[in-house]
Amino acid sequence: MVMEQAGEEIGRIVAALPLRQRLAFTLRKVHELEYESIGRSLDCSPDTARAHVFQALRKIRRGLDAHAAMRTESTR
Amino acid sequence: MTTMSRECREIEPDLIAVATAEAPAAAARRVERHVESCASCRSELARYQTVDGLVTAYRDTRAPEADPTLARAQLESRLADLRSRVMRYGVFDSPLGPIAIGVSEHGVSMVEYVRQAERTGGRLARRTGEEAVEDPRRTEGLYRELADYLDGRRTRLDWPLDLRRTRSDFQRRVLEATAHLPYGAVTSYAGIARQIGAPRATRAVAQALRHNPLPIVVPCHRVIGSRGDLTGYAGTRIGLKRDLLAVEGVHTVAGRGDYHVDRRAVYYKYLDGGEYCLPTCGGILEKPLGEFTVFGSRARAEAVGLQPCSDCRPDLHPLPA
Repeated sequence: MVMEQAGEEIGRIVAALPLRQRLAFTLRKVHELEYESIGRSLDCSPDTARAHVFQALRKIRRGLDAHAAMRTESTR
Repeated sequence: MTTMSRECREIEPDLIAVATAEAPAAAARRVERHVESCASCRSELARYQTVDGLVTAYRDTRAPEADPTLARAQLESRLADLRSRVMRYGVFDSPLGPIAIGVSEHGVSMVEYVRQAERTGGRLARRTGEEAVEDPRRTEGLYRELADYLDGRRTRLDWPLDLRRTRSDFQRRVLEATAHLPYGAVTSYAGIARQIGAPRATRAVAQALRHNPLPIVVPCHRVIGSRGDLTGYAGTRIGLKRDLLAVEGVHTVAGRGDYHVDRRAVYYKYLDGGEYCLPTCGGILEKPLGEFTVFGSRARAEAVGLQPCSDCRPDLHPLPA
């Protein structure tokens, strides 16, 4: 997948994530904050903050796979 | 849709952690072992690594934050981050000279021998990379426990430790293994290397302990050279190491510019053993010190639950006091 398309698709997937997953993911992967700090601002443990981020990554992976499959289908 | 095995399901979080370079060493080893024999997880790992790369690219091209909820959470996180960097410290007199004790929100983050000229916080703060606030009342209780320890009235310092200043996962493993060395016991750098599963990393262990952020509490004074020499402590202050060991009943002998533990005057426990032996038992003196933890007295060996060896019977033939 071309980087720009992937970026747009990731943006769409992130925007559709549940609030806490979206916040945790953005604070970690975009602003590079520690899980401990993220946990404090989301009022959860660092482990839960990490679980939110991992859940978001799972969804992004699946979303990107589905997007790629759809594109392959439409170019056939 | 394929069905994942239980093992694959359980390892998935570790897989993501490895792909995003966040996995602790143990998890990374687990994943490495698993993907060697599981093609599907190997490909999962590669996909997560690709996703992580795409996420990094997404971050770099992203427009500034427009979402107010996110902006607030970001600000709160940054504030929490700043708070967690504050260290409250006090400098106290001790038989070993002035000692600074610092605590963060997470636990004791600094124990340091300081010189008179360094008793104010500026230099300490610069060295630790934290914001240091002088607050002796906050650390006075710890100081009292430390004073009791240095006086021999206390044998444990059960303080919550903040090991965030460790330089690497390796150093953290070294410090954790060292923290488990019992009072009145000594092992060598090679012994710690064996205990953390890196038997060839003796020098790296010595380096890691050279930068111990929590001396005394993480008792690096109980780790010595493989010939029994004390080697080094707090720069060139080897006398402090000798004094700390003496408090714990491990006596040393002065040599040329150094001190050493007399291998004939201590009791031996094999690293995985449950008994303690005399130095004359089973050719112990011919073996490297790294195979043992040694104790200055029978009392200290028995205090950690060791039994006298049924061959050499140190209980019936104790070493001369």
